[in-house]
Amino acid sequence: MYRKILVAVDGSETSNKAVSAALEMASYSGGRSVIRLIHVLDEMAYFMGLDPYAGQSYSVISVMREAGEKILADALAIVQSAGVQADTVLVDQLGSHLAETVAAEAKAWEASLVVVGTHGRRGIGRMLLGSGAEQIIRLAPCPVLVVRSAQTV
Amino acid sequence: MKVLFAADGSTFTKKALTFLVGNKNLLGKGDELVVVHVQDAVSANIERKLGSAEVAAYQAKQADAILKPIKRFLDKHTINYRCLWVVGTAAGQIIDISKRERVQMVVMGAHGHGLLSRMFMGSVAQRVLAESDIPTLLIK
Repeated sequence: MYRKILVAVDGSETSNKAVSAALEMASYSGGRSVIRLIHVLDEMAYFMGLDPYAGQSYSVISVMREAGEKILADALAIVQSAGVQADTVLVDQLGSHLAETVAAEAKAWEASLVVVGTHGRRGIGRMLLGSGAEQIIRLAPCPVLVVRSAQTV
Repeated sequence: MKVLFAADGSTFTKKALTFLVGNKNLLGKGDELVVVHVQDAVSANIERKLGSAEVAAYQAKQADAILKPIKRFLDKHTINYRCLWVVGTAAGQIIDISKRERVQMVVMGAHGHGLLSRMFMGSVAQRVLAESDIPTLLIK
């Protein structure tokens, strides 16, 4: 039974799937699980123009923080509406590495399960997972539930 | 839920089984656990030398040694399960069987045997994650 479930969220469709999977795992504990949602600000995604929140007149970091808070708030609303106890962690230390940050949080919080979403890959990238997911699996101190989206990259 | 558990006899096997029986709602009435063990295929050369009957007997013995304690453990719990073993590539077989059996989750070890391999993700887990769309729980 997994009491403390840590879910890495980034607002993507795959990360929503990870939240649903975490809720399902929580349901097996008969209401005794708590979920912690973690979002790590990823400056690279912004500088490469991959984020819809970019391009506003704020400084990059405050925009990122706001976007991150919104992602966490959305995920928290989903979890709480399912009646599961939850909290959120926003990591905004620039330069922090996603996988290391998630693994460190899993250690510090003594998570019993980490849930992470990753994209399925085809062609050349087929053998490669999202590097974030793979590193989380490698570094996490506990079991990791990997949820895939059917979409190809 | 229908769950596939890939058993390789490593230390993860025990941890995974503890998890599987510890969640009454995960594998309760109407749910099913499919325990799969994959034996590596033997090269054609060796098979010719030893004879396929000999090779098959060896593989059956190896598979039995891994599945027997699992059966004994699962029999103590009220879980609807089925054990099967096949010969082939571990990742390929796990993916094929999980699709064929329409399982909703795959449970397996995050890495293989041995000390050095603990630093890396197992190649079997890696391939299953890369090629399958079914949620996969990696036990560490």
